[in-house]
Amino acid sequence: MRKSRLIASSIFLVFSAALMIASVSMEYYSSIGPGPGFFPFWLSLILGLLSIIWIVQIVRSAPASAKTEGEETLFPRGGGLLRILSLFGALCFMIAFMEPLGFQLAMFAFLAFLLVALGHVKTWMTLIIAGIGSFGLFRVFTLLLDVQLPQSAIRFLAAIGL
Amino acid sequence: MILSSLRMRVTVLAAACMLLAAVSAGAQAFPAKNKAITLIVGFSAGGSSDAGARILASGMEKVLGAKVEVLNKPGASGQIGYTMLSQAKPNGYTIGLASLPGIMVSIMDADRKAAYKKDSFQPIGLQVLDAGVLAVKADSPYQSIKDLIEDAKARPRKITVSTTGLQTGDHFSILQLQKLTGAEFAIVHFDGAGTAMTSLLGKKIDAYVGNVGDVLSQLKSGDIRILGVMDTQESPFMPGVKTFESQGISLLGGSWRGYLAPAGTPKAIVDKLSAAMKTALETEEVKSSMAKLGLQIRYMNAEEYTKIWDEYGTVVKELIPLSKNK
Amino acid sequence: MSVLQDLLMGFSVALSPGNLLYAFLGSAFGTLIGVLPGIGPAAGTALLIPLTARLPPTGAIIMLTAIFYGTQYGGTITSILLNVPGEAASAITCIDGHKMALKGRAGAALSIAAIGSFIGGLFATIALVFLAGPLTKVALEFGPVEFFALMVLGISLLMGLAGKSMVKALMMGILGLILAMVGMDPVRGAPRFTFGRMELMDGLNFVPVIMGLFGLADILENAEESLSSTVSAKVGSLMPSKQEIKDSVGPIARGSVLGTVLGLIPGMTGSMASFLSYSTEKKASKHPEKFGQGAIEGVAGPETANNAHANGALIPLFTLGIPASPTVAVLMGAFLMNGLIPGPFLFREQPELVWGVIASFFVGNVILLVLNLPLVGVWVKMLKIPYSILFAVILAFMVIGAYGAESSIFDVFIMLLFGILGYALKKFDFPLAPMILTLILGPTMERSLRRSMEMSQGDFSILFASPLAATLLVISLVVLVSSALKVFPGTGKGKSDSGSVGK
Repeated sequence: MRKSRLIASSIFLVFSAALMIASVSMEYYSSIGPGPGFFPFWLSLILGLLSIIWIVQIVRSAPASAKTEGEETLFPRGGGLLRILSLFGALCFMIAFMEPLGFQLAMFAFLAFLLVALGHVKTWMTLIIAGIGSFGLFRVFTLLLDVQLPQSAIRFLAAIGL
Repeated sequence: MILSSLRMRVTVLAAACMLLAAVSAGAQAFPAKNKAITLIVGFSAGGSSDAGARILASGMEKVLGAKVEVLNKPGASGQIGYTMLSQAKPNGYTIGLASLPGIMVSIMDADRKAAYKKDSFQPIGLQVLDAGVLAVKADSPYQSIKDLIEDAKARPRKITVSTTGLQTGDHFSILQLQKLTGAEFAIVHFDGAGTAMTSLLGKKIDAYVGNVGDVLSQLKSGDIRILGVMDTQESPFMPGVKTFESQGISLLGGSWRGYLAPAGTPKAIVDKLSAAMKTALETEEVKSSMAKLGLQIRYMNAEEYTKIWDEYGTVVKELIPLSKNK
Repeated sequence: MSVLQDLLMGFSVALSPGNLLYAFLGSAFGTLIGVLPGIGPAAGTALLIPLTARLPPTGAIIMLTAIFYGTQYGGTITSILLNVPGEAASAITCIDGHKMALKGRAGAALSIAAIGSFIGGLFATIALVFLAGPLTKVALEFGPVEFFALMVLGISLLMGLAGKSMVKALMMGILGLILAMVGMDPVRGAPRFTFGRMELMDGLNFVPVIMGLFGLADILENAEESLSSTVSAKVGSLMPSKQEIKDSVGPIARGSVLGTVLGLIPGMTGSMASFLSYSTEKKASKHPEKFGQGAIEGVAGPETANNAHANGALIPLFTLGIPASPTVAVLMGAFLMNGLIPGPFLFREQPELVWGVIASFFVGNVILLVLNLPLVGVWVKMLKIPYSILFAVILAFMVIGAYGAESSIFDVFIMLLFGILGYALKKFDFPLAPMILTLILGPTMERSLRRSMEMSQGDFSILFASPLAATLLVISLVVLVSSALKVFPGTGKGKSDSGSVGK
C-alpha cells in the first residue's frame, strides 16, 4: 500500500519533470504577453512541488496507516487482474479492428467476448444482445439518424453490407 | 501444399476483385448503381461549411442518380478530413470538401505536419465564395476603410481588430491589409464569429473581420457598419456596400469552398463530377437554399479552381510566418 | 402590458394542434438523442434539420428548438443510471447522481433532475420574455478581459471541491489545467503536447475523456470482484423524499439564475454552467462532505443550470442575432434555412413566428416534464438488467459514444487511456471533480487571457482597467482566501491520506 503510493507519487514527479523539460523548448514569453510555454512551465512546476508534498505526506503518515490498511493490497491479482486485462484487450481489439472489420463484425465479436468470457451469459442470450448491439445499432444509426459508422475496409465484406 | 493452394486462391480472388474494381471504375459506369459517393467534410455537422456541402450533396444526388453521403471528420481545422481524403482510393467514390485558405495553410505551415501535399489532390470545382468583410460598430467614428487605416497608422498596434480564429481566412486578410497599407493593428483571435461579434457590439474591440454569411443579422438590425467587402464584386447579400477594390485596396479574402478528389482519380470521372456539380448549382432548389444561408455561389471548374489556389497560395505563403506572430 | 399580449398571441400559435405536435415530436427526439451515445446536442440537432424541411417555418423552428433543449433532459439519464455521461453538460451529474442510483435513489435523482430542468428552462424563458433587453446589455459587457476574470472566479472554486486531501485536489486541478494545454497554442499556432497527432491539435475531446474517467474506470473497478454477477442494482422508490425536495430548492433556484446568466454570454458552454453550479453548491452547502457520496444538491443544481443555460443561450440569438454556443449556431442555421435571419428585427417582421416560438419554449418544457416524469419508471428498469449483461452494454455504449462524436477511433483510444487513468486515480483516492473543472475552464481561461494580451499588446494593466473584471477578480481572491482558511486549519497531519471512499 505504502509502496504503491510511493510509486504513484514518484510517477507524478517524473511526469511533471518531463512536462517541464518539454515546456522549456516552447517559447516562454513574447511581445504580446505569455507565450505557448508560459503556462505549461509553471503548471508542471507546481505539479512537481505538489507531488513532493505528497511524497512527504506518505513518508510521514506511513506508520499510522499501516495498521488499518496493511492487509489489503491496492491492485488486484489473479482473477481480478485477468478480468481487467481482458477488458483492456477487448477495447484494444475494437481500436485496432473496428475500421478494418467494420463496426458490425467488430462490435459483435467484442460483445460476444465480453458476455461469454466475462459475464458468463448463456449463449442464446449472448447472440441476441450482441446481434442487437452490432447489426441492430448499425441500422439505427445509419438508416434512421444518418450517422455513418465504419463499414468494413475489406472489399468482399463491405460488398455484403458489413 | 495447403498453404500454397490457399495463397493461390487468395491471389485469384484478389485479381477478381481488382478486375471488378477496374470495370466499375470505368467512366461509363460511374457512378455504379447502388454505390454511394462519400463526401468527406472536415468540419462539424451544422456549421456553414457542412451546411453548404449538404445542400450540394443533395443536389448532386439528383443529377448523378447515386447517393452522396456526407461524412463529418472534424478536427485540426479540417486537416483530419483532408488526410483521410488524400489516402482514399482514387475511384471517384470518395471526394471531399476543401476550404481555402485553410487547406493551403495546413500544407505550408511546417508545424502542422500535414501528411499530404497540394498534388495529393485532384480539384473538382469551386462551389462557394464566402467573402470577407471588415465591419465596425454603427456608432464608430470610422466611416470608411481609409479612416480606419489612417488612424491605425497614427496609432500603430492600438486599434484592435478581431478574427474568427488563428490562421483563418480573416486572419490572412488582416495580415494582407497590413502589408498593402503599412498600417499595424492589434489582432485579436477569437474562436468563432459569435464571441468576436459580441466583443464588437460590446465595444471591446474596434473592428471585426469575418465572412458575409456571419454578419447578415447585425447588418440588418443596424448594429454594425460594413466598411468593405473583400471581393471583386459587391455581395448580393449586402447591396450598396463598397468593395475594398473600389476603395483603392486590392484585397481578396474570405473562404473559398470547393471539392477535391484524391490525386489519380481518372479524368473522365472528375469531369463527370465537375459537370454534375455545375448542373446541381444551377438548379433553383440549390440556389435558393444557399442564398438563404448567405452563401454566394461562385462555380469554377477544376482549372479555374486550381488557378485561384495557386494565386491565393502565393499570397498566403508569404504571410504564414507573420500569422504565427514570429 | 404589450409583452403579455404578444406572449398570449404566441401561445395561440404554439398551442395550435400542429405546433403542439411539433413541440412534442421535438421533445421526444431531443430526449432520445440525449440518451443515445455519440450524438451530442449540436450534431443531433443538425442531423434532424432535414426532417423539418417540409414543415412550415414556425413548426420547423418549434420542433428544432424543442430537440435542442430536449437533449438536455436526455443526457442526464445515462449519467445517473450508468455513470456514463450522454453529453458533456451532464458529466458532473455522474458524481452524485450515480452514487444516488447505487443507493437505490435513481428514481429520485431522475425526478429531481427533470423538475430542476423544467424550472431552469422556464426561468430562462421568462427572462427572455421580460428582461431580454437589460440582460443583453449584461452579455455585451463580457469581452475577453471579463471572460478571463470569470474563468478565474470559476477556478477559484476548485479548493472547495477537495475531498480529504487538499494536496490531491490541487494536484488534480493542475493536472486538468495541463491537459487543457494539449493542442494548438491559441496565439502562436505552435503544437503543445500533441505527440505529432493531428487529432490532438484541437485539444482533447471532452466526452471520451469523461466517459473514460467515469464509466470505464467504474467497470474496471467492478472487474476486480466479478463481472458475471447476475444481481442488479436496487431500484427503490421513484419519488424524491420530502427531505430531498427540501434540499433541492436552493440548488434549483441558484442553478436557474446561474445557468440563465451564463447562457447569455456567448462562449460559455452548458458544461461550464453545470460545473460552476456544482462547485457553487458544494461551496454553499452546510454539508460539503456529502458531495461525492450521493448528494441530491449535486444533481439538482447542475441539471437545472444546464437547462437554464440551454434556454438562456437563445436570448442573444433573438436580441443580437449571435449564436452563443455551437449548438445554437446550428439552430441559427435552421432559422436561415427557413428564410429567417434571427435578430431583434424579427420581433417586428415576424411577430407571430417569434412569439409563437418563444411560447413554445414554455409548452415544450411542460411536455418534457410530463414526458420525462413517467418515463423515470421506465428508465430505472434499466438497472434491473443483471450486471453481467449491463457492463457489456455500457462498454458498447461508450465505444460508440467516444467514436461517434467525431467519427474518430483515436477518441476510443483516449477513452481507454482515461479509463485506466481514472481507475488508478480512484485507487489513490484522488477526487475527479477538480480535474474536470479545470479541464473545462482551462482552455477558455488561457485563451481569454492571451486574447486580452493581444488587445493590450502585452500590457497586464488591462485586466484591472475594467471595473467588472476587477470586481470578479477581487471576488475570486475572497473565495480563495476563505476556502484556504476553512481548509488548512482542519487538515491534520497523516489524516489526509488514509481511509476509503464509501461505495
